[in-house]
Amino acid sequence: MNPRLLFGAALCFGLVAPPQLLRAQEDVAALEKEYQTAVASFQAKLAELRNAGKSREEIAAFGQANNPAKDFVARFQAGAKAHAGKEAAIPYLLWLGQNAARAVAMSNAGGAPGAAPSIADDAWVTLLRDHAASDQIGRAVQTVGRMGRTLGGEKVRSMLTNVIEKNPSEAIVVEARFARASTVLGDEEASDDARAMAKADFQAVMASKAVPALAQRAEGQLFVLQNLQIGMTAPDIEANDLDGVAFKLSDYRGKVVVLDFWGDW
Amino acid sequence: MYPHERSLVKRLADKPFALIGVNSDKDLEKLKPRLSEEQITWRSFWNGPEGTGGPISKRWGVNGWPTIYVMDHKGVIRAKGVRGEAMDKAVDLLLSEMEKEQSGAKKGE
Repeated sequence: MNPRLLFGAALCFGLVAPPQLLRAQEDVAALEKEYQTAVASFQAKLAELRNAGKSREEIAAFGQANNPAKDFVARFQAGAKAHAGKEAAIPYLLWLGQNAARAVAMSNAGGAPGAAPSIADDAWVTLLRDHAASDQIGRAVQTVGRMGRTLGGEKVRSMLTNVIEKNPSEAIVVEARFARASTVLGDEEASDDARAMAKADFQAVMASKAVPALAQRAEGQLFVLQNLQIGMTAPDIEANDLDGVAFKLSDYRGKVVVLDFWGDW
Repeated sequence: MYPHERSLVKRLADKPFALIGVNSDKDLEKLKPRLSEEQITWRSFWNGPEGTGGPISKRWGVNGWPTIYVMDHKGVIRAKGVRGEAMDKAVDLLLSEMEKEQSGAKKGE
């Protein structure tokens, strides 16, 4: 059998990564190694300064000027941009999502506050938007799913819908449906349609065997969606107080009630 | 968080208001002396020996502590996740809404 045909077939079934993706993964691994070396030598220099009895200000100034994080984040960003829209961008975006926040925060005494997480957030958003069919976007689905407050629930839902429609992996589709439905829980502006879709999503996640841990959580979230939204009558609680005396939440009908889930820790 | 809740309970002592806790400590014996130390006078359900994995917090979809729900006098959920001043504001609004409703009902008699 023709080896190229065989390779092509394997590619179709997702058995091997395409060559451009493999090369990008190697490039990113090399860049990551270079970054770790730079961080180690930077930290050694900081220790030297400390041992030499330099003042805190001097050490901080040296740190700000010489921390390799910003430079490397920029290099990973350049890699992602050079391959924008192509699979080869994926490893760069994954690195940025996982590391940019920490890397920049480390060097960020003088930087713009908030810049670091937004680089990571942008990477996750780009990953989800440009690579909706990839099998590498599990974490992007989860992370962007939690960005409803900053990006807007509608926008997050439409990005996840794109994944649900295009991704061939059942596990990723289940993750995306769980994430899409979960955005509705904290979103008072979610439309009735979005709420109906969330219900169907949670039920689909419960029925699927692809991600068992999510199936269980979906059951809980569905209860929250159907019973614990603003405007709904709160479900009753019947349990003991701290002295072992049973009482009910509904004993307090007729009063405004703050229900406070707390712990002394 | 205790000081804020203490002052809310104190300020609204003669209003139709109740702060109800759902406590998720595993060990009640350890907790009990803390109640008097911190002057935690309000009543709490106990979430059981599983602590944060207990049945009440599970059912109410709680995965962060503290979590707040505010109910009006009819038992309808009117706010979630409000802390500090936002919690006070939500409560005050519901109390005045309740007063208005009741004085309106009296006039209508």
